[in-house]
Amino acid sequence: MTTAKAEPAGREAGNLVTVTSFAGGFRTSEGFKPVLHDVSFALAEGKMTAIVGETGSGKTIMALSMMGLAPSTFAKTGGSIEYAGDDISTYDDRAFRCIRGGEFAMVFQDARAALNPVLSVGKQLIDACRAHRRVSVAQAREIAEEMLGKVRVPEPAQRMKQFPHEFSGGMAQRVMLALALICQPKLLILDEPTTGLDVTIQADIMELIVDLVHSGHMTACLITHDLGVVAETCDDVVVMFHGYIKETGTVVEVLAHPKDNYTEQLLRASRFEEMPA
Amino acid sequence: MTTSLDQAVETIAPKPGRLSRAAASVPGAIRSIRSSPGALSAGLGILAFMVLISLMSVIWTPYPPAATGVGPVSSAPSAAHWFGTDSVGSDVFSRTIAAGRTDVLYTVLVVVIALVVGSVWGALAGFFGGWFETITLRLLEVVQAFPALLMALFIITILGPGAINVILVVTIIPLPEFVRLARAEVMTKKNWQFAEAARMVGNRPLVVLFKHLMPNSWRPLLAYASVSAAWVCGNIAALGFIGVGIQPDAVEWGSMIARGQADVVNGAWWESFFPGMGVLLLAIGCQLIGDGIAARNRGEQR
Repeated sequence: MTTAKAEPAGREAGNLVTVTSFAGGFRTSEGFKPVLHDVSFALAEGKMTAIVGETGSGKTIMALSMMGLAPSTFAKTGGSIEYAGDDISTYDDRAFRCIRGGEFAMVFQDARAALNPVLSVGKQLIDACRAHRRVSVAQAREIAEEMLGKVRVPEPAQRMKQFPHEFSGGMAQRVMLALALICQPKLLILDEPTTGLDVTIQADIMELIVDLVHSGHMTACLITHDLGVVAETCDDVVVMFHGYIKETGTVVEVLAHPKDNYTEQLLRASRFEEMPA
Repeated sequence: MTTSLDQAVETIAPKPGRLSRAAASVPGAIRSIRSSPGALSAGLGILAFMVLISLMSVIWTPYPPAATGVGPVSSAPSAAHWFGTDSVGSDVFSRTIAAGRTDVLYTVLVVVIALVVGSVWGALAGFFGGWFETITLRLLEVVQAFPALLMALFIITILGPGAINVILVVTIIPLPEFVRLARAEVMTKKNWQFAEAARMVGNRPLVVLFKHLMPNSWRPLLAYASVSAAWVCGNIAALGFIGVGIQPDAVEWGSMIARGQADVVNGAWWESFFPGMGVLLLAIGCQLIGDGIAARNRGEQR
């Protein structure tokens, strides 16, 4: 497992995604409810950035907006999400489809709900693969099997024929990871990938994620409320509270010398005050 | 050994007169049959039997079904004519099984068309929403505002009788319910996480809809399809009965019942009874299949 990088160097070395003053909210029957206010942060290329905050702080909706998967009741009110010189927050569904999977992929919190119950795992992986790459079904099957091996699912050939309900939570999360990685994305968004899992499995999965992200030279965005995981795995951190950005910086900067009161509270909540600076 | 087994059977098996309270009354008995796990296999059995008989009639019937004067006029069931003969001396048994071919085929055809068209239409409306959904819903309300058989007669009067028109009319009437069901299924499932995940990997919307959502939605649709089949076969026969059916002189249960009804008052019940039983059996078979699927769906939701 990698530890937090000590030097903040390389920050200026290009950002993959830059979010600038992004704001938005939900249209509800009681009127417009803003949930994101002036959110600005950047995902540095090749780094792992954590977005931390409590439930309801707008972490997930921010991630979904980057994927163009925000529910139709969500509306942007300002700002931009810049990727490859384009503001993708203005994209429609068709334009987003070029980014989804191939450029950005996402791992959902509850893998067993995110896998289609009536399609075999192999079929879902093959479909995802073929949605982006011009490969035959046989080739896609090979790629899928290889991918299952990479996420350390034992006996991938047998597992390909099985359905999601035959997988344990941890195994399903590995499959979800394979599904996200099979299109070779540049950015991997992980929405609380270990929250629903056993504590013993959480560490395994996190380790796997870090390995894959590093070996694939990917940029990753980890959404979590577990500062312990952030300290161990991430390079940069973004602290969110009630739709506002409270603090951004490298993990060492933010966790060792929090400038914001809320970050301090978060740290104290996870008993991180004893963490050596 | 045998005695102890007999005793065991005696204690387990319900004694006559000690029927459960649900089965004591006729509606109660029907209800318990319909919700029993055997409903599906019973329905499938009935349907298979009818399909088999219909297929057999292509190769063999005791007498040519359309021929008249193959026996005495309006004779009661006998060894030579199992279901008797009708007023023009045709063999009722031959005609009944040959008519099964027409009625079963048309029923299946109508239900398949309604199921496919209705599901696709409803799924698209539920998935994309917007003006398409609004127009669809208004249209359904208009169609459903009319009593079914009145609507059927109305359209048939305009279009005239004939096989294609009968299929059209009998399809239009159950269609709205298929559209509604498919729309509701897709609407509830399109925001489930696996649909989102399917979009996440970059699938096209139509792929998400038909490959990921629809396979999760076919059960209630199929249950409704078999229940509506019972209604469909009744209506095909009804249109045949009042003479606006598939063809005025087609070998078909509805028109057979109509032909025999004049003789019923003279005691020749067999001319209308057997084709009537055909309609009834087909309807019961379809209904049982629908109930069986519905019972399974409920069972799995628990």
